[in-house]
Amino acid sequence: MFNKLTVIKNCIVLLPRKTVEFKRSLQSKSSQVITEAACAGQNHVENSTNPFAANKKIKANMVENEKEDLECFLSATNTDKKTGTPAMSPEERERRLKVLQLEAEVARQEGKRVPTLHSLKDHHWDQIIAMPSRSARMRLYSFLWKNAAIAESKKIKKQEKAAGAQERIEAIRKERAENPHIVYGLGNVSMFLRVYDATINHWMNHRLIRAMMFSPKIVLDCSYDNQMDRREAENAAKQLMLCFAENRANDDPFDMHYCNRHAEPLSLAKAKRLGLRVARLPLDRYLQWGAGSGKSLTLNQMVNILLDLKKTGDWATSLKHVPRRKVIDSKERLSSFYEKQKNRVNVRIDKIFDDDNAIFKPVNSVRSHKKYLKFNLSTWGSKK
Amino acid sequence: MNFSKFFVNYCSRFSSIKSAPVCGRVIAVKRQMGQYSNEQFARFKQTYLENRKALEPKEWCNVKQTLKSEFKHINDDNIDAIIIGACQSEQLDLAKNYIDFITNSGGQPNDATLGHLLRIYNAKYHSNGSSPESLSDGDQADVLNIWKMLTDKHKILDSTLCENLIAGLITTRRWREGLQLLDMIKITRPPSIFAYTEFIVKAFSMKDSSLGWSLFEEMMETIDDSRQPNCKIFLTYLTEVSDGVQDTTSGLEEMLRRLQKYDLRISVKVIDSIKRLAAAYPNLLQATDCHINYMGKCSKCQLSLQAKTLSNVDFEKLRNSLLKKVVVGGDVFQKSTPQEVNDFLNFVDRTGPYDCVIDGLNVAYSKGKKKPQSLADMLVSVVKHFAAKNKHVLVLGRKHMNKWPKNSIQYVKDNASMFLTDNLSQDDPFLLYAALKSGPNTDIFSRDLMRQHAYLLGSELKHIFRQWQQQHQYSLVTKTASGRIFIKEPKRHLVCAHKIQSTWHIPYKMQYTLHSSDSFEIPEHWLCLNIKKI
Repeated sequence: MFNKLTVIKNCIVLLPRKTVEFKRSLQSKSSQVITEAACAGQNHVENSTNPFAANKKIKANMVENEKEDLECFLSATNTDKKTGTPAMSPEERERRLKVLQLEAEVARQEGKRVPTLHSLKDHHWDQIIAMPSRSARMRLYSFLWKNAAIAESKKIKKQEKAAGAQERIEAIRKERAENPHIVYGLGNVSMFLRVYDATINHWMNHRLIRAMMFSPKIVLDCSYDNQMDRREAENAAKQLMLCFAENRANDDPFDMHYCNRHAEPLSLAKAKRLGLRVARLPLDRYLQWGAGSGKSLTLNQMVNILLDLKKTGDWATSLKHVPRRKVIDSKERLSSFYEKQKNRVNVRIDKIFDDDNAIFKPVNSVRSHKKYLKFNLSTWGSKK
Repeated sequence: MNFSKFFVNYCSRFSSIKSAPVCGRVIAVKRQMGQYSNEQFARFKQTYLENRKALEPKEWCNVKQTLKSEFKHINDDNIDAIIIGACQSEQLDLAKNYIDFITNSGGQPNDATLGHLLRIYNAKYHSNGSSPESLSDGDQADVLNIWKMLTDKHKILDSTLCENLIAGLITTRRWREGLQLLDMIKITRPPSIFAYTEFIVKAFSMKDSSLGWSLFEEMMETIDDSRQPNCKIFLTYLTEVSDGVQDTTSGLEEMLRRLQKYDLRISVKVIDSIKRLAAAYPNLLQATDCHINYMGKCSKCQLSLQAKTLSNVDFEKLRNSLLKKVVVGGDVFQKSTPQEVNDFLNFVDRTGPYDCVIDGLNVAYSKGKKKPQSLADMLVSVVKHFAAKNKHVLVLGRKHMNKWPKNSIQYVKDNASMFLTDNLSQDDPFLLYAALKSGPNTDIFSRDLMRQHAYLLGSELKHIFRQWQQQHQYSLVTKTASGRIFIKEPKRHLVCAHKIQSTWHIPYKMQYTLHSSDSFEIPEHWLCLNIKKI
């Protein structure tokens, strides 16, 4: 499953846009995710008008009369590795560990949200020692404390529930013994055939096998290990898992490949250098984007959008997979509008109650004059 | 919370007001730290602890019970420290009483409790006048005892304990030994402003001004750029200087030089102190409030404030590293393409030098309108402004601007040079390059604060860049319905404290604020201080 990607041909590549202050890789920025020309007109790959066909690796054109000092800059690539923690000798590590343990203990004694020392395991300490600042450590402690507190309260609830369990079981047993009739229901007598998980899995896997032969490919670039911190990596792993699951569950899956693990990542900068076609989702055209949270979509959201796009060819339905909280809908705007109005002095009340006479213009998409123009899939994305 | 983040980003891109991302974050962190609802705790303090000097053991038990039941996070481990922390600064006796209660019940106060106790000693010391006799000998002995206990118990102390110990040691005669605690703090984090300030103030009051200033400089180097030191430091220093022990004028100059070096704005209290000092030595010092007009001229002494501050050397340095660090960065494809960079360099060579370089998109979007017609109009009005003065300008934009109304774009092309970058490229670095290439007198027109570019230049050049930016950046304030535009011109003179001939001009503000403002405004209040050469 983890192949080293040497040539990018005839497939859709999902990769994030790399920015200079590159931090959140797979999760953030993947909305303005650069995908290779959209699902090639919902057709399968053998189509002769395949826009991918012309996509060969193009070397960046170096103009002959380039200035000298530029040459050395341009040939430099930004590997952008996160500076690893400087190697510490065991004694230094031991000393630092002791101080940090004391720090945690003192903070806990002061009443801050820090878990007890014995609940912090070695792998926690590895992470903590590497952390750059005290506030980062305190945030981690707060998170762990909250988890511990939740687990604690769950345990208490479970114990309380367990107290009455014995009697409840007895009562049910008695009732069953006394009841002479047939019991109908899902676990007992029912007209439905039980379909076991294994059957469903076999069926979905068969669809995947079919997809491997006939469907367009999607390649997920997994090489951002050294740019992500622990939390980002955990999120990324979860999303990769979800990608696989949601792809498999769909009627018409993609042929999904994970690649480039431990290799140099593919980014917008590299894509530009190679002259690959890049494109963005037309988010502004179809959605009223809400403020805050940025236009980042997770990997599994992207895969869902692409799957629906393949099926229906319609952006409006496929962009339904964008979580609603990122998009402001009319109800939210209305309530925020009222919030603003209530603090103003001169507001005409009669107009507020008049629903027909729209006080605020209905949500106009940014380029509403273009609404009726057909969205041309084959010209979507950048020129080569 | 999300909306405020968006708002902050919007503001920082288009205005020069320093937004409050720091304050918001501090509050969020504090909430995570588990600061209980303040009102609830304040009520608790009022009911049980206010104005009390001592409580019976029974009452203490009651207090502990109430706390544990009312607040979910309070348990046996942290209750002691919390109670001591709840004692107000003048309730030293109450705190001691509680410590006795703990020891009488058979326990030992834990480290955090002792730390909070030290803070109360510190508060008492300050309220008694911050002199070596402010705390009784017994109390000072207590403090030293605690110090010994903690250092015996732990080889290396953590930052919180260190800071509390510093607070305590300041009150004693052995405060100098506390300086090593600063190094201990540095193992885990940079020392706080509080720790440094305590030492600096103590050093000044003990007449050790060299130690004070070296600690001050260390503090300014390590703390966050925008935070301002406490006025206490300067007030203490001025009191010592005016005691006549030190050479008054050179001592004063020491302080003023630091104000200049770190671009600090002192508060009116410090200014009053300087005026008092001047009144005491009328033959040496003359201090008067003055007003600086927009040309940079002082109303009192008629001297013009220092105008050209960026030396040629600095300017060259800035220009050379701009191309390398900002336009190209680590990888030229991050911001542009080699082809485009090349084209741009050729373009600038052909059509430069310019009088002003305009950030087309920034200007166009200043009013927040989105229709291409209004965007183009904003740009046209700015170009018109410069064309009327016969200035040669460069307008930077992106290729999609070709889709704007034709006649507006044509007007811009006729009256200015125009360069459009790819829609995927960043145009700011080009802006800066064109301006610097055209020479030290070229201005830029943008509301962008350019913080990320300042950061990329490195700490040494960042300061130079900021100076250049302050003196050369125009920004668009607004455009009225009649089409008239209001422009904020760059300030061509220094706005920090500085000296011309033998006169210092010192800006100040009426109230102390923790963070300096990021705008390039001329300060309203200035002090004109003439120091006569002896």
